[in-house]
Amino acid sequence: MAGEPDPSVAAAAAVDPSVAEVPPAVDLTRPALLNQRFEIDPSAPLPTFANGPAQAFAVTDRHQPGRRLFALVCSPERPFRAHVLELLGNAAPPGLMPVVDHGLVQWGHDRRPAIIYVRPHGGAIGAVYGRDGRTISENDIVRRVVTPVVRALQFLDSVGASHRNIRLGNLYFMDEGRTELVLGDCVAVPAGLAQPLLFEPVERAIADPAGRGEGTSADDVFALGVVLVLLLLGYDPVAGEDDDAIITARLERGSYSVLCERQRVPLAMLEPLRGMLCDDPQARWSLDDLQAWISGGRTSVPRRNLANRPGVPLAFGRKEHFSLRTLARAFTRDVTRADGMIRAGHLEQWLRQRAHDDDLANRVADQVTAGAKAARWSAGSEQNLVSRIAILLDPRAPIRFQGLSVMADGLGAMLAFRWLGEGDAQTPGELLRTDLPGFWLQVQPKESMPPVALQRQIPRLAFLIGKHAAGYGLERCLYETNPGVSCQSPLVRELHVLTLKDLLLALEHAAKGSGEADLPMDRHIAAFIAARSDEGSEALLAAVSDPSRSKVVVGTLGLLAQAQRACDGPPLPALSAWLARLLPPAIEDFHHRKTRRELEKRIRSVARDGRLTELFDIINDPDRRSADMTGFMTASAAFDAAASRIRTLESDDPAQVARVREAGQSAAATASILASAIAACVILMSYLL
Amino acid sequence: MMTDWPSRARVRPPQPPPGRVHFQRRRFGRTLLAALVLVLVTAFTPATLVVLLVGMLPTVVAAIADRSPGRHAAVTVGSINFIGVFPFLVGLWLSGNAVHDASALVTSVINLVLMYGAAALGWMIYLAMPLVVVAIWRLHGRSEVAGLRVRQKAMIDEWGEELERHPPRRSLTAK
Repeated sequence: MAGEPDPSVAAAAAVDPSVAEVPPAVDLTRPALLNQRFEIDPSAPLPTFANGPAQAFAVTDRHQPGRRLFALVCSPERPFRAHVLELLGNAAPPGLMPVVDHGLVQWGHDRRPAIIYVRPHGGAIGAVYGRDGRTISENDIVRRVVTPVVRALQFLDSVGASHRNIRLGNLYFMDEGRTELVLGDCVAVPAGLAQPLLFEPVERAIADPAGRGEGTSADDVFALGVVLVLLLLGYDPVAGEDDDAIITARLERGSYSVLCERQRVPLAMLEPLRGMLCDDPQARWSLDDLQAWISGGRTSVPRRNLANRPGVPLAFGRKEHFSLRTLARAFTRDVTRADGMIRAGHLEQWLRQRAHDDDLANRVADQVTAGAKAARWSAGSEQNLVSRIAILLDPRAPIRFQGLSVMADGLGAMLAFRWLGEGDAQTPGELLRTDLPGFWLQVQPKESMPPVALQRQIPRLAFLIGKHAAGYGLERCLYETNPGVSCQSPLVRELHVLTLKDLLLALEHAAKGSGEADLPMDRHIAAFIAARSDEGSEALLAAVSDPSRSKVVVGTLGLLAQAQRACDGPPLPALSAWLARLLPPAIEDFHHRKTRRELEKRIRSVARDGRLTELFDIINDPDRRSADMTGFMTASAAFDAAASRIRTLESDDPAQVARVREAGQSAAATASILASAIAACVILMSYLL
Repeated sequence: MMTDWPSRARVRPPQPPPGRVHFQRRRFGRTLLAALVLVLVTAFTPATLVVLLVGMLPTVVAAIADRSPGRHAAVTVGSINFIGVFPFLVGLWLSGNAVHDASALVTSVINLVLMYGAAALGWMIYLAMPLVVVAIWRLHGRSEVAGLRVRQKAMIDEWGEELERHPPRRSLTAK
């Protein structure tokens, strides 16, 4: 299936049916095999095509040996963009480097996602132009660069994805004549992770690389603008400058000014570049504006807005700040001093008297009041207050907390980055617990609200992080926000499980192994299933966290059955047998002995077939359970009545004895009367006759 | 403002409950009837009265001694005592019902032994019958207990020993 990615792949590597079988670790000097077809040669790296931490290697296609391909092997410590790969599906969109296949590959001791691409013949555009004074003329740049890139971005936008990897080193010429330009990989690394600061909009440039966020086509337009500037100039206008100084300058003067002022940019390109490099995403040129410009139509050019610039600066640290954005950034870099200044009221006073922004001053005052209350009981209130004030001062900027700087749409990637890379995601977890993302969402201006999906995700994450039961918490947040993160349960981690089907196969493999664990369930597996299946699983998750062993077993079986149903998974006889061995406590929840024997018999039978759903239906049949309980209650009442009657009969109650004795006396009287009457009759008759 | 005192005309003496009045009337009626019968018997059959008074003396004693609600002792002793007296009464009536015959009857030791022996038998019946009934009742109870235990065992076999350990039962019909 060369050239046709597997359509069923929700998360790239789910296609390999042999996932449950762990092959022996391969020697990295020998080729690794993908989908029994593509040989990835670890000894032939291709650094030109690498995308950040995802390394590129030469590939041999066993079916078509002459094909020139390369593979990007993803880093195990970075989540890849599985959702983008799914959105691309089978399509071979123009302007994007063609994906040939993808899947999991055994790489040393790990199993890693690998993506096979057609190898471009013309190399990266950055290797030819944009350096050493080599430029593309303003006449050629639209035809050779802008048009194919915009076409690719339009396709991505139509499927709801962004590229987020547009830079000189990731734009390739597919042909040796360098006429066909394509965008390179956008899947193998988190959005924006591999981007140099210059190619990111300023608010995303401030964020940590792993937390730059999925972004939108507006961010791709900005990156395209930077690419055009470099191609037109033939050099980097800010080369050699310190990153921090560049960001400060961009925050104060705007990205367009920093990149284009005092540079010899062709006059005809000034307007388009001003439109593409505008720091306000709402005012920035859209793909439609770009298309209109390509087609020769008229477009509006955003103007620089300095209306809100305070006339008098606020001194903080060793710098005087005219810009709220630089002030917010400075605050988050010196939290203790910022906290003192904010609580002392200096910021509020400056906002009222110098910046003439009473609304913002009031909101700052509200946060100070709330922070003063929180300070009594929360050790982290200082950081919390400063983070909130920074969000108020610069709502577009990333959320900054305890050294983290993360965009709201980059929370998931940051969580995965910390978890997979450092094994500790406590700081992102703490950020979620303080509900800073919820506050960030509240203060966003109505005209620039984030996408609806993000608006829904933020409160959902706050809900999930607040629950401590299995299937919730940090693990659930990790899997909900990262379709490309494999299940981190120790039971299946080495198999790099990305889908429910793979999880079930991996557990089947674990069930066959000698070291069978107590339960095929832990917090990671519960969260993974809950995040990856569409059915509601609240009741089953509650059962998994129940103190009762029988409920835990039934909840475990229910969750795995739900996974099998959701992915229409194959029969799992070993896993079924494992679960059947754990079921006796659940069977003992039934009182009726005959029902127990019937259940044991049926469970043995169904377990052999490997159908978890049927197994669960047997043990969790509400009618049977209800009938058992009703029958037990009825029997219990009858047993009680019998016991009570026995107690009465055995007690020899004096009152009861007295009643019986009185009945005996009554019987004696009645019998005497009868005897007397009969005797009288007999005597009379004997005399008379 | 005037106090609303109850007027003299409204004040009535306390009245006995209606049931008690009815009982007192019945008792009075029965006493009157007994007195009337005694007067008639005394006037017309003095011999019979003598035999009855002497022969039924144990019954009179039992009636005085027995204060139980049903007066079962008096009834039992009286009934059997009457069986002992009745043959002599019939003989007296057939021989003319004369007072001197009655005197002869009640002065004969054998006759008295027979009449009072019947009364003694009545006492025996009265005393023995409750013991017999209680013994039968206990036998029946033991049989019922055995049956209930068998049923309980069957229930335990079907539903398990939790039936015995089950916490305070909820009524199936309880809301």
